[in-house]
Amino acid sequence: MTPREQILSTIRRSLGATGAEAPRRTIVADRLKGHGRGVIPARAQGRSPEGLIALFVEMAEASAATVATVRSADEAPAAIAEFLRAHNLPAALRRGDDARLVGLPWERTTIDVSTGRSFGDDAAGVSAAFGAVAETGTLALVSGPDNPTTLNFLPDNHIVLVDAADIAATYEDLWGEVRGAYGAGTMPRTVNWITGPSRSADIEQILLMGAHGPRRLHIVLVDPNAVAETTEMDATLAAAGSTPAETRVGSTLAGDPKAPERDAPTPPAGKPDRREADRGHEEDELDEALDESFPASDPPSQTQP
Amino acid sequence: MNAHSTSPAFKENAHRALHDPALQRALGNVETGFIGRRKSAADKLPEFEALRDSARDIKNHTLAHLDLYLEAYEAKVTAAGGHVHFAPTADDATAIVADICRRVGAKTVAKGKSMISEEIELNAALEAAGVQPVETDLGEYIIQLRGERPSHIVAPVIHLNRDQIEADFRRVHTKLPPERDLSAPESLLAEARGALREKFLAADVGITGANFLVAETGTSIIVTNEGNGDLSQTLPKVHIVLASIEKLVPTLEDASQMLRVLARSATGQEITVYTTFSTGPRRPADVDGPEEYHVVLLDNGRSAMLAGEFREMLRCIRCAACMNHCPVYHAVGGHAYGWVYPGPMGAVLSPSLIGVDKAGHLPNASTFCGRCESVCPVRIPLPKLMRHWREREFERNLSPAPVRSGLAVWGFFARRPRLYRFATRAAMGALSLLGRRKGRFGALPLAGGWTDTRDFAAPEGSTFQARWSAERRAR
Repeated sequence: MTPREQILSTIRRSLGATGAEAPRRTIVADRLKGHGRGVIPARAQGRSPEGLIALFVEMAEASAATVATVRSADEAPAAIAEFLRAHNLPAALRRGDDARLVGLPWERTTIDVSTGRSFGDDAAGVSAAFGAVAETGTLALVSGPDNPTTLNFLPDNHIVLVDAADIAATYEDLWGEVRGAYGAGTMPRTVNWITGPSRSADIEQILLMGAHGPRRLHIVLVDPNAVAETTEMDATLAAAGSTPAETRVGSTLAGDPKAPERDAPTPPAGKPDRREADRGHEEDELDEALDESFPASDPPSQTQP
Repeated sequence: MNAHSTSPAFKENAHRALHDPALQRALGNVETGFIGRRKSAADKLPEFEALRDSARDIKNHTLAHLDLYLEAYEAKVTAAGGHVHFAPTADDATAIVADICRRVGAKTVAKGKSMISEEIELNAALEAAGVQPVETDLGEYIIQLRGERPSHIVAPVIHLNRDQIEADFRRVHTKLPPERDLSAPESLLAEARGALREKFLAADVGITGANFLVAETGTSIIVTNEGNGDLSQTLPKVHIVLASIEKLVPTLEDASQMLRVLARSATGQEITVYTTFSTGPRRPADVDGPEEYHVVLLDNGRSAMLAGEFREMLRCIRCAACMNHCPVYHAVGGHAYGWVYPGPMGAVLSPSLIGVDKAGHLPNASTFCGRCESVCPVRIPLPKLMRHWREREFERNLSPAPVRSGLAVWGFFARRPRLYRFATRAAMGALSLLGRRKGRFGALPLAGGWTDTRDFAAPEGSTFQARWSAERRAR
């Protein structure tokens, strides 16, 4: 008996089954094809497109990612240049072959853009997301020459371009998109869900940012319907939090963890008070961790002690 | 089975743990951190309780059809260009991994965190095969430097304080300047990050565990916060996934249900930073990723567990909520349990995997307070399962003589209710009279185990049964 037969036959003996029973086989085949959904959180359901975007931004920022909103992809290089400058990073980027990145007007900036996978010596990489999930502020990236997986993990700073139209409400909606692109039952080699920058709490349960993966995750959200309140980033930062459920052009940067909190969009029915109280507590903790991880002078050379 | 366990010495282990001040200091972090964070995350999601039911049902369904889901999963992995290896025992699993490493001429292996790897003692097997394993999760890296086992299934070094970790880094990282400042946890993290970056880039093989396996697509899933698992599986030319057979779920939707309860139960996060879905090796146009993708499916006693009352334990998704909420774990820590899986889940699982003769103390190390069951994301009735082990231990004559004779005496009276009432009334009356002055006893015959460490309160005269019938008459 092969090891495979050995394991399968012990399982069948334990279950009192032979493996040939037609009803069991039908149940399993139907389940695999059915893609039945279970319990879906209300927080992500029944939202307008603007509401979904607002939830995505709120959750992404709660995970310590930073978000810059631009109204057209053509504005992305300038927003990225601004991010690099704000963190005193070299004006250099690594990217894959994704058409959404290749076609951008990089020449309007001084950024030196190189192409290919990372070998560990890039300070910043940029990817284009396959999609995103509003429910938890999660980015979904797929592997391939367009967006090599190494760019998600090796550079100290990961910048991700997301089209607002690609933000799904829930994980289940995202799988629908994946099946649409790759066919049911087929997956790209790797799907990476990314929610915030790398961290560890292994030492005394103290939350520290930047464990093995990127210290910073910066999301550039392309939203043609975003309201342009002002072009001055500082003014945007100061104004942030005034109008919920509406994305504004501008950004929050990790270098300023004390950026004003945004109002939470419509909390789920039931317990709004407790939710807000908890959020405040969580952000305090995150702020402390960010303070510790991003000291005032933060030279890129800090990667390799 | 090659399990090296000190579970038979649980009592001595626990005694030592209780008198270890550094350990007691570190264990304080379990209670203060995990419990509040889990509660906060659960409270933020009104559907959390319904999701726990959903997660339980998904696991029950999968386990009842496990043979068919394994076949479906294997077919999908193979179709994606991967290889599935079936390992009935721990030794089979280590031999499969060692063979792959030898075939590709591996010198070093980068490892993501995997409890299965601890269970099969993979590091020792790799070293014996001339391959150097490098643990890359921060906690596991520290554990490896210390030659220890993790004391917690999510936070491996929860038993350590930062000064102990600093001492280990100074001992091992000898090429760095000795005068460097390592007093802050940030500097410890930065030093580990620097040391491990080279290892990732040099490793020939990457090994990760799996939180879930998806039958629909042949996908393995890992969840991490550090990103070490992703570097371990993306950079080397071979990726080996170590997974036990009960990790299967049917579809991506089912996996999503499980993911909604996993991180919230474990660390109180909405979701971990990285959730990675891997299907097969590098595709033709890819510029990175492993050239080979292997899955080692470990049984090691699990297929037999499907037959009886312990099937429910196979729902476990290793979130550690049970130990985070366990007063016994808070008091003695994970190492006292003597094997890989500590806390309530370990007290049920370890006897199944290494035998109740070795691990029989563990299901007895419980106050049956029920907190573990009340937080389990897949609703495993842990106290009930511990009770099953106590019954089996008794049936197999494995309980110690004083316990057996004590139970025999109690059983004699319990079968004779009138005699029982008379004897307890007499005993309570006598104790009440004797203890009337102080209201407590500092020592009592046959009760040294209790009175050695605390007083025994003097009974007030009546028995529970007498008061119970008085109450009922009064209604």
